[in-house]
Amino acid sequence: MSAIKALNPKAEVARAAQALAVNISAAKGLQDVLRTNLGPKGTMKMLVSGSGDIKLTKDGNVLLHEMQIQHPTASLIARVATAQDDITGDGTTSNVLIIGDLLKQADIYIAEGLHPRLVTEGFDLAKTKALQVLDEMKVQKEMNREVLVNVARTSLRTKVYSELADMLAEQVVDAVLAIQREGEPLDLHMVEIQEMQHKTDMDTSLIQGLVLDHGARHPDMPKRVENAFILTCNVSLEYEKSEVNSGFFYKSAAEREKLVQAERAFTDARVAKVIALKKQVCEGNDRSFVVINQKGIDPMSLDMMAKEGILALRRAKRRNMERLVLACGGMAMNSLDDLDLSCLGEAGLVYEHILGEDKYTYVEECKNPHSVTMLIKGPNKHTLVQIKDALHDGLRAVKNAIEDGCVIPGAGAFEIAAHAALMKFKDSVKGRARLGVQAYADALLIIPKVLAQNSGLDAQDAIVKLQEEYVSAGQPVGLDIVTGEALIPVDAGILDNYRVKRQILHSCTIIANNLLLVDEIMRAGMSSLKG
Amino acid sequence: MAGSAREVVTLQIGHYANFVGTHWWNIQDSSFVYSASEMVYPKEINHDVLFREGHNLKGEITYTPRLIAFDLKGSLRMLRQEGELYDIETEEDNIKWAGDTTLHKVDTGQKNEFLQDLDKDQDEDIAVTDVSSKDIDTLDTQEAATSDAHGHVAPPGVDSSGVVKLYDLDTSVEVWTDYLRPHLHPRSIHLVQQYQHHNELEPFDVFGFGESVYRHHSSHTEVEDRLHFFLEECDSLQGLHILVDTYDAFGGLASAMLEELADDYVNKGLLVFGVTPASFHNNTMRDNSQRLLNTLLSYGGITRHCSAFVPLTLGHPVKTPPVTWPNLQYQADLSYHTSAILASSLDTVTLPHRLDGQSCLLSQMTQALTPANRKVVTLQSSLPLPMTETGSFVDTLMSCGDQLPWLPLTPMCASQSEMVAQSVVVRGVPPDRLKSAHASHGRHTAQQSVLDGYTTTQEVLDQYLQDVCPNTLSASLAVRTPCKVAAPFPHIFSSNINKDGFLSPKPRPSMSGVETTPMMTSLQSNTAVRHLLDNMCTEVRRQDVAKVFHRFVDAGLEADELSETVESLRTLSEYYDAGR
Repeated sequence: MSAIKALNPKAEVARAAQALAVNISAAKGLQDVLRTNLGPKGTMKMLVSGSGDIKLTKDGNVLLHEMQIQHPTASLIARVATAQDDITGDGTTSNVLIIGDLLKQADIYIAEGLHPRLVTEGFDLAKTKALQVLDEMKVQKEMNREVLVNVARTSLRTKVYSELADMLAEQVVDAVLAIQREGEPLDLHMVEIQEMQHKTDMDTSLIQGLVLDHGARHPDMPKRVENAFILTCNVSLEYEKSEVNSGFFYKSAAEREKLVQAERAFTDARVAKVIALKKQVCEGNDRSFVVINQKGIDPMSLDMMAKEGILALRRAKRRNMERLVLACGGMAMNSLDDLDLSCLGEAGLVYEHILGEDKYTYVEECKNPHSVTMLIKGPNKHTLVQIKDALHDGLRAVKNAIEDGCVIPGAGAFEIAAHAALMKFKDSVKGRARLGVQAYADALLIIPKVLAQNSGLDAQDAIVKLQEEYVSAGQPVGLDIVTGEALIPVDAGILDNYRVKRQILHSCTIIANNLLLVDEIMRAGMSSLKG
Repeated sequence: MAGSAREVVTLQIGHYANFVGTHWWNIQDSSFVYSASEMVYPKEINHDVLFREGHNLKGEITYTPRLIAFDLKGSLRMLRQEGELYDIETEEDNIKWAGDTTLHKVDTGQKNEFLQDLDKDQDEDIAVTDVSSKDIDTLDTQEAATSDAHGHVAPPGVDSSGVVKLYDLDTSVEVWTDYLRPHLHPRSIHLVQQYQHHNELEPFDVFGFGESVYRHHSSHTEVEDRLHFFLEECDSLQGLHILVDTYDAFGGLASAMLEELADDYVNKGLLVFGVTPASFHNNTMRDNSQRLLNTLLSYGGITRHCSAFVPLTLGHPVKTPPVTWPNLQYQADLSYHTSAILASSLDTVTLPHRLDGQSCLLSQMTQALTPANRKVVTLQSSLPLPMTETGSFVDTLMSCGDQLPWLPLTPMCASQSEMVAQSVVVRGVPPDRLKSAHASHGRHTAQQSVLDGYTTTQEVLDQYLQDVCPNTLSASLAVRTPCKVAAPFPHIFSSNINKDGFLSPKPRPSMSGVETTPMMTSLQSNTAVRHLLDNMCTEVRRQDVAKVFHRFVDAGLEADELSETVESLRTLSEYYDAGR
């Protein structure tokens, strides 16, 4: 009888084997949900909400976020798996699969009387060895465009159909290469992702510049300018409210309006400064002038600028201010007092595109832009969202590869190699902990197995073939999902991220160990236990 | 675009805030007048202030609230996040995926009677336009269509004979989308992805959760996009109405968001209404102290950056019991009921800056009501304004005697306490009922005869306010349009209120509801706010918050942040003391 029972008769308690069973069944349940996702031939899932909102995905991370997980253990695993995605951008499904299989394999030995503690010792030894194998398998080479495209393609093909994946792979690599700067860490936020519900998904493109989702609010402003100076600023061009406390109580609306008029002059002076600069830099040449302001611009100010042929955008997003400067050059101005040529950025082409009630302004042909835009197109909202999720993963994969400076052969090659190495390593382990090593090795094979199953192949057949081939070839071999034969992943361009694999090994082992060592689960009414 | 509307964008942050907001949009939606023939008196309210006109990809004109509503995942039930107005049918809807595809569909529940009728009305509207677009037998078919459907072409909820249908939604309303009338723009609803609605494992109930949700990169980007969409198009933005749940993590989300808004919209009015339901179903000590901490931190965070903050609840910020109102029979445990009372008051109190023609600006009002940094403002309301069926406005005011004619919606601020400044709105008083027909009764007080001397509601109101609150700066406004309280407004009126919202000696027939009502509200700078603030600060010290405090620390609360917030609220409270 657990002590808590004495205090709270309603408390539910699960002990030892029972507790383990609860955890294992949760892990298996989650594994069953996600296993069909793995690989380029996994199942696409269409989620339809009660009200008809559609979500199309096969990304494990997205699915885990969409599922309403009520089981505490499952929710714990889900959190670890989604943390994996936060850290490395990929590998959620693999994570869940391996945790599930680690528990399943451990269960076999525990049922025969092995203490969970010994299993976890074995797991820890096996993890260290597996990491060593991973380091040995690193393919160190120069991260040129071709290698990066392969990495991106490997990741993207598991998210969207292959034609689209191949196209996006090239675009994400170009995007990352554009924003990469010598000696500075990569900031993926400098790749703006803009959605546009229009045309088809294959019209998605990379814009060497920015696409802002607003346009000029004055009918007379130019819709298209070339060879433009860009003034990026954060200065209010709306009339300022005056301090008229008492006006609210005593003055009529007409009198209040008069006070407003007086304040107008202040704003006009600011606009005049912008116009003066425009005249100074555009006099006698064919250059044009664009103002992009983070603060508001009221209709009267717009009118003054329209008369001078200036294209002005107001209320630009905070995050785009930094990007504008990176894309076009110049400086973001917080005051209009000391304006000169050096404050201005440049863009070869600025034009407006109208779609329904949405306006878009393209700022293109920037010289050497350090911020670019992925313009996602698609016929409906769920396609846009699906591509957006995939793009995030693709960008992360490219970034990981650049930062790692190496890649890992994909298509299950690592798991096959690690299994073989662990089986050898097992013999050197003393005592019953070696059973844990054995369990760990077997659990890793879940990845190539499921990969084969999802491709319509026989899992055992595929594994045996791969293992034979690995021994005879003496180099990493992976599964060809079309033929079921072995292939050389590096030659086929199937490359995974090093850090994703490493993170999977780390987090799976930790969480599996924790769950195995649980020998009592108590639930004594949510409100009293939570927190 | 050339319209003279001074736009106001609304943010509803939190589930209860959405309850209130939904009632508010319903009230406005039902007061639209579509043709000149229906117009009884000149149009006063400029709906373009809170609504925007747009057009979808099919080129149809849409009219939707300038609104961003924040809620948790799973809180929408029947409503699609994107709405229906902007749907386009795409031909290639087939999924391009080489492998298998599986469909996972969540079971759809049953729509309640009101939503079903709303759908039906809409379908018929479309059906009728379709029929009339064909030239053949237009008349016959249309007639057939109308008679077949038992004449359901009248506005929603009204059947052929013009009788307003009575709904009993008290039991069927679970979430705010269950009684939402207007269509929303596809960008209006923002769902917090990290937390589930009504999830006991991971509730969204700690201030810091809201802050970190807002600062999370992807949600921040999404919120920024939505704000940008609604705010950028405004030519002369007055400011924002922000409705916030102050008792849970949404208070944290709102505080973090206000910080940025205050920076970007320096001279605009940021009028924040902090709303709290009148009662909660979970009432353990922990729950209460947790709500108290959230409320305190929210008040601190909001008052730091807003232009004016109006705490609103029919209960108490910390504990119940709920206020009782004459002429209303509401159930305090139903958010559907309590939010309706708050919403009708908000609709009324915001009238001064929503009128056609020359109205004052939101920022002028907030500035006038927050002298010397007294940012907390109180709201008092009279729903319905207790006018009898035959009596006059002057009679009504006189019958209050020394009492002021309204009850507080801001907790702990009794209406009799010292008011420094106020903005009073009266609506729905018919011009012919301004004063008693022939000064018939003998007992004429001096005051009454003075009031009888005026000819407009506005003048009577001005004079009355000068008489009863001589030391208060008062701005007043009288509006002819009454408040629409037809379905899906809940049936909270006592049976002695007639169809038009006046007190009547004979009970209202059980099959009819109240459709419109006269109202009066007063938004005040009131020194009683001190009690509210002081009480909260003492309560935090008195209650044992240690039990829940660690959750706040885990969520990122700095050790001395709480005491700093308490200190800042104390300072705020002292502002109300100065000059007395």
